[in-house]
Amino acid sequence: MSKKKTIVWKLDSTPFWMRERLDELEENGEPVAFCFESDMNIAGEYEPEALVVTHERALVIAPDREEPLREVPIPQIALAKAKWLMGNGFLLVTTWNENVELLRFSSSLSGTVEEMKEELDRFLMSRLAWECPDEHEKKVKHRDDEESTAEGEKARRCPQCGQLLPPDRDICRACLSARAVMSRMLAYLKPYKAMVAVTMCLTLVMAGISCSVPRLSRTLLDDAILGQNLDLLKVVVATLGVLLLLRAGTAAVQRLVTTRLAQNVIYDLRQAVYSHLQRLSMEYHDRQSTGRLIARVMSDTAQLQQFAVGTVQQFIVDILMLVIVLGWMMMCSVRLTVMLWFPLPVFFLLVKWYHNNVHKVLRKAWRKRAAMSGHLADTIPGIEMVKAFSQEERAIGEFRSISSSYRTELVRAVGFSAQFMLAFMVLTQVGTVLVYWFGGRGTIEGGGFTVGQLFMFIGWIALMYAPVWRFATLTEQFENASTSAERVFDVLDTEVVVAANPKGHRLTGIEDSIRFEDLTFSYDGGPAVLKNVDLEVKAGETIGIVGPSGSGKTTLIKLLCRFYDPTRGRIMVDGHDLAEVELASYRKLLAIVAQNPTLLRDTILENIRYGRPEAGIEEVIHAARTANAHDFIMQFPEAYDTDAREQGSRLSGGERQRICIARAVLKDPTLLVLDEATSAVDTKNEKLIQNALDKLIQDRTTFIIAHRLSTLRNADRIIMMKESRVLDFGTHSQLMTRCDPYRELVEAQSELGAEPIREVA
Amino acid sequence: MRPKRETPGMSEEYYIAPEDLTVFHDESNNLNVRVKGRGEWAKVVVRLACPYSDPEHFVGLLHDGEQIGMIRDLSDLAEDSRALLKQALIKRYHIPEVARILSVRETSNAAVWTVETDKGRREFMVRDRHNFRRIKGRDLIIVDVDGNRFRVRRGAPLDRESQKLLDLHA
Ligand SMILES: Nc1ncnc2c1ncn2[C@@H]1O[C@H](COP(=O)(O)OP(=O)(O)O)[C@@H](O)[C@H]1O
Ligand SMILES: [Mg+2]
Repeated sequence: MSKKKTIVWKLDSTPFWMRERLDELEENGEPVAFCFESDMNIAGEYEPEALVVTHERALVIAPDREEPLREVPIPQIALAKAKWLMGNGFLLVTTWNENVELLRFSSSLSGTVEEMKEELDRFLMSRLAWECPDEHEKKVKHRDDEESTAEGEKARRCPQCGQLLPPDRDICRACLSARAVMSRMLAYLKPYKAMVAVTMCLTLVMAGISCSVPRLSRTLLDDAILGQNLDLLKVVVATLGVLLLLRAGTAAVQRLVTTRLAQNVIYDLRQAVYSHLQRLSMEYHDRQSTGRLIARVMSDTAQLQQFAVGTVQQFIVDILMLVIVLGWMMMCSVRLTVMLWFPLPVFFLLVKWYHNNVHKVLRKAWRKRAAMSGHLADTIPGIEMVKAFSQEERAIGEFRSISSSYRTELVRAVGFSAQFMLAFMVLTQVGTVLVYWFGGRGTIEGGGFTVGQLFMFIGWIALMYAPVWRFATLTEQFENASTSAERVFDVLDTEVVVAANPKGHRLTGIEDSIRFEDLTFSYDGGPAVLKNVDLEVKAGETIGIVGPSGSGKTTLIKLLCRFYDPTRGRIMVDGHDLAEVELASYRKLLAIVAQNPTLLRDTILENIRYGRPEAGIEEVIHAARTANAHDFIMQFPEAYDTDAREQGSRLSGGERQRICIARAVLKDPTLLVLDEATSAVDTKNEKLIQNALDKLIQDRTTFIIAHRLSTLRNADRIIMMKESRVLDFGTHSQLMTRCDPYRELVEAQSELGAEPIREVA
Repeated sequence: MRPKRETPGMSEEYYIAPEDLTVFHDESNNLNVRVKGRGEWAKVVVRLACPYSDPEHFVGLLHDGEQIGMIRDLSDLAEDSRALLKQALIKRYHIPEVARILSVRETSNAAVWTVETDKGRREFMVRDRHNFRRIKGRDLIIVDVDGNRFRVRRGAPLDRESQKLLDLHA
């Protein structure tokens, strides 16, 4: 299925009403460049209108109107814009004196409108380049000034079929065929071919023995017992004994091999998923909840393994067994076998019905379960908040109602499958009873079965129904497995967006400069949070970044650290595009103290030397002293051997920040980035850290985001950010004279008694 | 390999040169230290920077909550001073070494361990994995429910019976 194209020019899909008009225009010597049909008129009614762009003008036509509704001559158009509002949007063009709303469309067209706008841009640009080259230059520059942004996050679509993707997936259910899933799952068995073969053989041996036991019992009854043959009895009993022993032994070995095989497969899968997760970009991780990813590594891989190793094997063995048993039964008595199969069509109808409904019931229960764990995830870590607002009773009440509805749903679900089991039992028992009756009568009346044959037959019935039962539940298992497979392969198939470039240019230092070139960025198709950032920082400079929260300071830093790649523009380090240098070599030069620092579940010692595990204790202590963390660490009974996370809840925000600063200090980076790194530290300690950092930042490039301006007293230059843009960039005194928001900020803080920023020469 | 950046003054001042340090007991048996050229302190408290991972090095000296300085290596000190500090450390950090694990009894919410240590036989209780601290590349530290510490050395292997119990319960 290809994506629906709305940009049409005399395609078969062009609406009939438009074709006539286009032909008309053409005949009048006005060749049409392209056209676009919208699903809404300018008044917001769902009536079609269409934009037609010829080489002279852009005009909007409607089916029932002869005259164009609106038109703008092409040379007058300075700019085309798409404006996104709630539930709908507009396509506007800017002329020298006004904005003209050309088209209105619903949000479902957002994707194609975006495409159309690009088309229009290209067209305008080409016209301009042709008509007046220097105007063209200007417009190219201005093109990104007015960034069109969709409201909120745009729903993502499958690149193959255009269907909507679930928010947490990157590949769509429809494009993931069952067969492809199967073959991929089975691919994980490939390295263990020998083991698979062994388990298959063993399982077959077991099945073979199971099948021959009834055959032997027939001989036992007919020839040995009824035939009063003691010698034969000895032989048969001995054989039976040996066979049963053999089966037990085989079962044990088979279990062992299967377990090993299964654990190998799941180990491979887990490793593959985990290492891919580590490499995936921040964009991916932004979209995913931690719990969901943990589930993918832990339970989805297990589910897959269960299917690949257990279910598939069982299926093959079951088919073989069914064929053998049925063959023997038919040879024995066609009539009785048919009688046994008689209830089966009913049974399969039943299975279908069960299958259609069990999902609904189960899904209800799952949803309740999810609600329950969601409630737990909210209220247990947030217990402080619950208590602070004395909402314990409410939390308990909410939990009670969720929990009890889960109970109800689960009981219902189990009841449902119990009914199904009952139906299955009854159906199979009917078959068995019929065999007892007809087979028994045949035995009594003679000419039918011998007693032994009857019992052999009955023995086989059980062997026949077991696989049938398993087939019935096979689809269910397959569905579980393929849901898991979807989730696992979704991880594995997601491309690593921020490419590691192992072969890219290897940075060994930053000698010259870092340049942000016309940088624009939005998180995952959302609104732009950085617009046209364009500035250059010299190596060795200390740069302060200030601005209201939400103005994009952290985002700028994240791009600098290359957690994300820019949407447009680039970052040049010593003349190398950051997107093309070897990522690992760049990250080696870099240390960041993030706004919300993370400590690992390990000792403070290991936490500090996380970036340089080979560092000695003396270096760690030195770094901690620089970050002013040493003294408080020594106050802990276990000092540097304190578990950072156990103690974690007891470590204050400021203490955590200082440990993270120590971590950055120890790494001795060329490029140091501090994102409000001392925001949770009190003023006295901040000053101490400040003193230490002053020495630290002397001979390296440093970016410091700060809300206390006093933190920036040693900054060479300051970036003032506001509403996703760089408002100004210069020294403190430059900004004081020319940047009003900055001066206001400084004045506001000195009113509060904060130390005014020192003049930088 | 790494270019070592110097932060002048800072660390040298903090580490006490072994030849400058004298440790002694005053008449009320308090630990006193004298650092040549800096002064004298009474009622000095010793602290290890890494009591689990490096108990032999990096001894901090504190007076009244303030840091006096740190000693890199005890073995660099003069005999008397070293003995006194060692003694103080042994008092502060009571971490007996487990020589043998005699038995572990699991109850519903705790486990009772009976061990033979270098300080004698001892019974203690642990609750869950949080009671076991695995120090990277080094020993296992057991912190019982009351805060007692026990060290299971990695270098010196336990007998098979003890090892089995350890693997099973730790
Ligand atoms: N991971 C993310 N995904 C989507 N939007 C984000 C993400 N992180 C930040 N934002 C948005 O980007 C904007 C800028 O945020 P940020 O750079 O953190 O600002 P600052 O650090 O200046 O306070 C904010 O509107 C914020 O909501
Ligand atoms: Mg921020």
